[in-house]
Amino acid sequence: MNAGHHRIAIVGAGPGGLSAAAHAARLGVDHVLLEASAAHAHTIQRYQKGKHVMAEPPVLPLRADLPFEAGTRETVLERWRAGLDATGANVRYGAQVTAIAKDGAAFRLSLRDGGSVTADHVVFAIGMQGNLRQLEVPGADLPCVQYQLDDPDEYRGEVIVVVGAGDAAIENAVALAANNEVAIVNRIDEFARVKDGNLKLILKSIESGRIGCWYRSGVAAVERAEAGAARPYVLVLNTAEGEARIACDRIIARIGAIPPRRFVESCGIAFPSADPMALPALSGRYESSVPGLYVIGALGGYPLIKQAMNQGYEVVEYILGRDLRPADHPLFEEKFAKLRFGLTVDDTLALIQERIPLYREVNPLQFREFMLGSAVHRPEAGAVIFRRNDYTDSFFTIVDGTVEIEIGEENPYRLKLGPGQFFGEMSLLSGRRRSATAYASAGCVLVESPRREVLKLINSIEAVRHHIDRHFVIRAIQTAFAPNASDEELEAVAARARVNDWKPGTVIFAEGDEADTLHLIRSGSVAVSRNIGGREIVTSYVAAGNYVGEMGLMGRTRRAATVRANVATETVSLSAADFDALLARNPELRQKVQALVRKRLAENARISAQPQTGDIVSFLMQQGLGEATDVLLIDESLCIGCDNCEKACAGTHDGTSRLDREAGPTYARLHVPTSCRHCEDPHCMTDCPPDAIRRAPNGEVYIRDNCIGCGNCERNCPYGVIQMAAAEKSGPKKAVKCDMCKDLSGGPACVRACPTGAAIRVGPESLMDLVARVER
Amino acid sequence: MQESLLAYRRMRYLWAAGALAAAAILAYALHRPPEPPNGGTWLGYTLGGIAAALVLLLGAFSIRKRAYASTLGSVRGWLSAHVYLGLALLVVMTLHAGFQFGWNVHTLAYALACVVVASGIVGVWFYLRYPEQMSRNRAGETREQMLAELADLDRLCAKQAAALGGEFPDVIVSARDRAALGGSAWAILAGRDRSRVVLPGAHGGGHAQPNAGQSRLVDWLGHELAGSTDGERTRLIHELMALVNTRRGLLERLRRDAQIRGWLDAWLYVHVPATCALLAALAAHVLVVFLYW
Amino acid sequence: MKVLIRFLRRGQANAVEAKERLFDGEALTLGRSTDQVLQLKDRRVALRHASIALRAGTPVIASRSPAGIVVNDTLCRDAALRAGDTVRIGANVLRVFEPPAGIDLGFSFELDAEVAAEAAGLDSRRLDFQALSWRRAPVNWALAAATLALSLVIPASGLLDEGWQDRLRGGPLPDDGFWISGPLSPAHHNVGWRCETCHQQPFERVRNVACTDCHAGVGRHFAADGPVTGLETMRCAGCHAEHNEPATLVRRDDALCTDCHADIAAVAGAGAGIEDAADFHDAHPEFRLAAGGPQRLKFPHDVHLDPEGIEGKDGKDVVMACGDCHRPEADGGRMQPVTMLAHCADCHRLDFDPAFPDATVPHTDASTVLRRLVEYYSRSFLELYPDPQATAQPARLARVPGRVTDARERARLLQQARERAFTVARDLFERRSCHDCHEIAATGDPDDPWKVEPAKLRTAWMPKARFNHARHSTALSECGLCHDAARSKDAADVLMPKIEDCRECHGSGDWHRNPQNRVQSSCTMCHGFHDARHGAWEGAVR
Repeated sequence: MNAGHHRIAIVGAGPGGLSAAAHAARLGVDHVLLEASAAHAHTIQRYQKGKHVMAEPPVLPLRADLPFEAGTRETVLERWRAGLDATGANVRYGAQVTAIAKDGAAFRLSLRDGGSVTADHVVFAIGMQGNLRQLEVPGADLPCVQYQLDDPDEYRGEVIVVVGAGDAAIENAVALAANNEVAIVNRIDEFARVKDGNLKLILKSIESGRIGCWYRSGVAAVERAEAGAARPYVLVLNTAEGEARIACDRIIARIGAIPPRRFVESCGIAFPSADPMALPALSGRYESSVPGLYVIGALGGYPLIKQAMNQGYEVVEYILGRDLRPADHPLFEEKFAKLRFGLTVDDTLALIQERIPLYREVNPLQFREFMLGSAVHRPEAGAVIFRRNDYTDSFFTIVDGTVEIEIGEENPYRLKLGPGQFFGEMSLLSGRRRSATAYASAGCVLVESPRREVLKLINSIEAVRHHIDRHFVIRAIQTAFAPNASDEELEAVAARARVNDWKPGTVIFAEGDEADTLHLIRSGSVAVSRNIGGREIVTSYVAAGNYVGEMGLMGRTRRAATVRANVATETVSLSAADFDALLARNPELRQKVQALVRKRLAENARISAQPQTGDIVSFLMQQGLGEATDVLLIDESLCIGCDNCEKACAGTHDGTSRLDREAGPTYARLHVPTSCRHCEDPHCMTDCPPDAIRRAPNGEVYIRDNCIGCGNCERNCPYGVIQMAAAEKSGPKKAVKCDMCKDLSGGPACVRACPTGAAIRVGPESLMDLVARVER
Repeated sequence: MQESLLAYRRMRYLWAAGALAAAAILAYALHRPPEPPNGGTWLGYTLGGIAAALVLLLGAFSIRKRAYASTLGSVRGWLSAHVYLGLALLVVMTLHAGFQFGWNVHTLAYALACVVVASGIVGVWFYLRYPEQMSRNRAGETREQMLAELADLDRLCAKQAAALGGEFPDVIVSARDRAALGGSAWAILAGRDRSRVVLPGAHGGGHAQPNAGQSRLVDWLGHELAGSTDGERTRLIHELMALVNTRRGLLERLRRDAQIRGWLDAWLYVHVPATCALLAALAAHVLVVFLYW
Repeated sequence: MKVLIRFLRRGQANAVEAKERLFDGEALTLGRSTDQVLQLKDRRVALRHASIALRAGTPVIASRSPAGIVVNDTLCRDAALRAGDTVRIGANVLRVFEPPAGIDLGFSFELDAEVAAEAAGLDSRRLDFQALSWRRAPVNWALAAATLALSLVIPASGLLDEGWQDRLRGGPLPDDGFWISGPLSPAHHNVGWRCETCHQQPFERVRNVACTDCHAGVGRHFAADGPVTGLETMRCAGCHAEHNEPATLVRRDDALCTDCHADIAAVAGAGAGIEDAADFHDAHPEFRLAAGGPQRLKFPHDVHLDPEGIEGKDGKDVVMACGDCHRPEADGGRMQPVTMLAHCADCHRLDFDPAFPDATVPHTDASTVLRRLVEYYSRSFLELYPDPQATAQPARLARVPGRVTDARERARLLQQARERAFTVARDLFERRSCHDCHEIAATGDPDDPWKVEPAKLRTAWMPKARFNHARHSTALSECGLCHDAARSKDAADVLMPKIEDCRECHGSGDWHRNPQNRVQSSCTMCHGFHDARHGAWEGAVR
């Protein structure tokens, strides 16, 4: 056995790799930990100074030879370093692995510096970050060029050029602009593929002149400035207008990273789909499709530090051929105890996965993870699982027994669902209230999964998405048109129905088009507008759960109005033929649709007479009311500017007002203050590392105490209603936002504190009524 | 869109207050005391008790307004009740007094209550009248935005004036420095434009002259414009004039905004201190009545 | 005055920029206000801070604000300006230099750059009424405290010490007079604004002793040993309310009486012999006249009031009116008593001897009258020989005056005189004068043969009620409207009106039961609460 050979080679000194190395060292197993950068835990090293590192999920016990608990970046790193030293792990820093190939029985790991290492087993713990792309131009090695930014407050009064147009570049540029003169270099002429929040942030900064922007420019070279110049370096850019030279102090290149998938695939590891979000196929023991090659941590679908560390420990045990129950085993035991199946945890998991077709294609590890976040219920016969108009958005699958779904309001119809079927996907997808009531029957066993877990599954596994989509269509048709049709009857229609994604502002169909489809709005909302006197007048607003396009289909004419997505909207479209077939099935339905058509025609006539109403609707849509579930509005004809709403908000929320009364636009007496709209699909929720943003049963979007103050939600909110504030003076800053005073009885304090009744809260249901009242 | 505070819940408090006042008037009319009606008859004590309770209830509005977590009705309902019951108080306490007045602590309490109610009526009138004007005047901008806009305009004016040279920079700077905007509480409430400007030689000899509505400045610019023969110069003066006009409008709006908001607050400077004095006088009144029983 | 002002501005690297301006006017004003010639940008500067003007040809700077100005580092109110002087106002510095010819004063003006920067930025505070006006909270507290002090604390301090109380009452500070709840009724002005006269104990209602100190001997409503208890503890102030407008010290409402008298049996027991009375018009017993036997006077009103007339004193017929006998008392209330001497004697003369019509007997009891007659006739018989038959000649002429008769003669004369007196007396008592009006009975006693029943005339027929003739005189100027005297043949007729007669005008005590514009008539209109039988009210004030 040569010196370059080890029993285990661990690639990447992240939490998983460190834990694996530490465990191997403690067991005395010959190992090497290869780390491309110069220090351990590179990703965490790049965190902002003093950033709080979380230990999620809190229920999961830690199983590692390195200490870990929530704390600042510095403490966590320091304790790992000390732990690593104590165990005597064999770590090689600056050793970037460029290729892994099977070399006989062993693997050969080629290093960037030309060397190589061989090992019997390889543990991939490289995470999802990949390697930072670096500038490859003359002068890129000058000390003024850096690829990360620890603490934006370190620099003051400098001229700094940020290269790149991604989220990281924007965040750095904006942070630096507070104390420095900052320019940002963008290769194209827009900021594509960035978070909405960051896009707004950078465009606002550029517009206000706080940040200069070089569009359609690329870095040509970095040079030292001539002696005596004001700034020590010069960045040479290739722009559309020719070469430009920027005198600067510093260049921060945030030009992305090379994603690890290509590298992982080059090692022979198979992925189940081409989806960029897809995870490699792994066994229950983290072994990939290549025997002897293990994948742990974020790359294996476990983005949390604690999970990765547990896996690092476990993978070493597995390599040694030992059997080990996963760390979450007791949690599952507890969870499944009430099922009384008399099966082991693994068997129960397997049974559930087998029983429910939706989950069959999920890999066992992912399913285990999914189940860890889900709850298991054995409701009493006849118990209500959720009620129509509840604001819950969890997803249910039936393991055993049956569930009855009551659809429709006037003539409720009960639909029976059996084992393997699922329900609750309507609210899950639309973000709106429950559209039906679910009752349990005797012997019913249910798995309730939170929205976030299901969305993760939907996004990573195409089959799940497809399954749920088709089901959604059937259920949507049942709810809207054919409550008494069975799933089988609608299967064909559902198969032909299409799910469409609409970007905000796109036209779904235009006035004068041929009417050939009906759109069921699944999420988001649309604005209906008509051309009146050469001007496009918004005549109404249609929220998710309703349908548009029926008018044209009923009369088989051309479209009488234009329908446009207000926000990111999903619709399910039905062809005219299918719609006709549905109408033919049910004569009552025809009357129902006709009644709706009549109502909409009357509304159109009214709005045509009062075009200003349309302006109000479009104004409100611009302000994001199209996706709001509950928004604070101020009637300026009553507002005396006493700021009691803000005072009440601050008074009931640790002294920080979550609304800014004065800020925000006004139109026709209606003022939209800066305050949370409780969007149906909240932007703030999209990227919350600790999953602290939740939707309460009554629809309130709120932030839990486990917020880590990362500021993602603040940036992601397009309406600027989230702010970072400290509860106590010296305490850590956390995100705060309107929680609609969900913990106070009596409703939101702002509305209750308004002495004149100027402050009101409206939901999508009452929006059009409100608009009508503004007119009066 | 929303009903006003007076119309809260179909004016339920108007009915309540009206019923209270009507009941008090009826009782007073039917009451046949052995002596002239006064606070010492059983009806007098009853009405006095009701009036004192009303004063405390009305005063409690101030506490409720600040008890943000309270679920005891909405502040709006409280204010609606505050307004109507305040008016009812006027009736009840007058009947309590039996129309007997004099130079004494009792009438002092009565007079203070009248001051409070009267200022309250003024306040309600402001509340009903001003918000719409304020909203229209602001045209969707906040005061900070308007001030920032003004600063921008000042800068642009200065730049334009510098480009023109000659007397222009001094005149524009003096118009900027001597533009009156707020200053004292009274100046805000009065809303009078006491702006001034110093114009050169022939137009005023360096004296500060009234420039309400920036009219003097515009006159002067017009004069300069008429005298300009250079095309480029004429264009610059035109542009400057446009800026000055925009600035004038902005100043007007700011002044009006401050004025409206000032008045929305100002009445409270009578209402609240008078209320405090009233509470003290009321305490003295009640105590004294029993002190010299 | 011509002033050359040189504006200095320090630019980069301390380079000084200068700009000159010439001022020509009476006075050069300096201050923060926009109308000042020289606008000074510093919040500490007053709106109108100072002015420069010529005084006797010398430019003098004078402060117009209390803050003063600093000239050559000395704080002063005014100063003459000479070349080389430096004036500081806030952050503004004025340096005087030698003016060119024809100019009175020249100075450079420089503003601290930082202050200028601060002033240039428009402060939103300047537009914020709340920020610029006084803070309300201290004013609120101060006003409340001042009100409490002036209306309660200071006046109440007088209760602690009498001397201090007197000084308070004499001084400008508020005393307990500020507590008065209404004017004192004029009757009590003698109390003299000394509240403690009545309000003897703080927080205790005015006690009866405060009233009875002065109003001693006020009649009780009924005897202390009466059947009703509780009335002794009634508070005077319960009925007599002070400090009221209009000032009414007496209760006038019916409830005062009817609370008990509407059903008096419930209070006083069934045997009290008092009838219920709840309302004058609707529920009031018939008038009950004062008890007492017949009047024992022969007096027909109709004869006296004969419209044809009645024989008067000279034998002439006179027509009499009520007022000839019934004269109101001075207060106009009741009528003066009718007396023989004042009202009857003119016509009803008590002469007994037609020969001497001037000789009369006194209007007194029978034995006295008889004695008088015996005396009269004895004297005249002894002095003159009487010839009872020769009545045509005067008796005195029948005898020589001074002649002494003998004892027998004397006895005979006296016997004659006595017989004569008896005869005359019989005539008087049994047939004439006395008998006209009085009831006379013979006793059989030769010394006192007649008993004359004295007439019992009443001045008050309804002693428990008040009646004022004067009040009624204009409305009822004819007595006959109430008193039917013209048809009364007998003195025994009581001419008091019936309650119905009163009710023609007097209505209920309650106005809304008083439909026909009758006079609202409460109990106290006629009746008093305090019963004179148990003590007087009038004139009881000590």
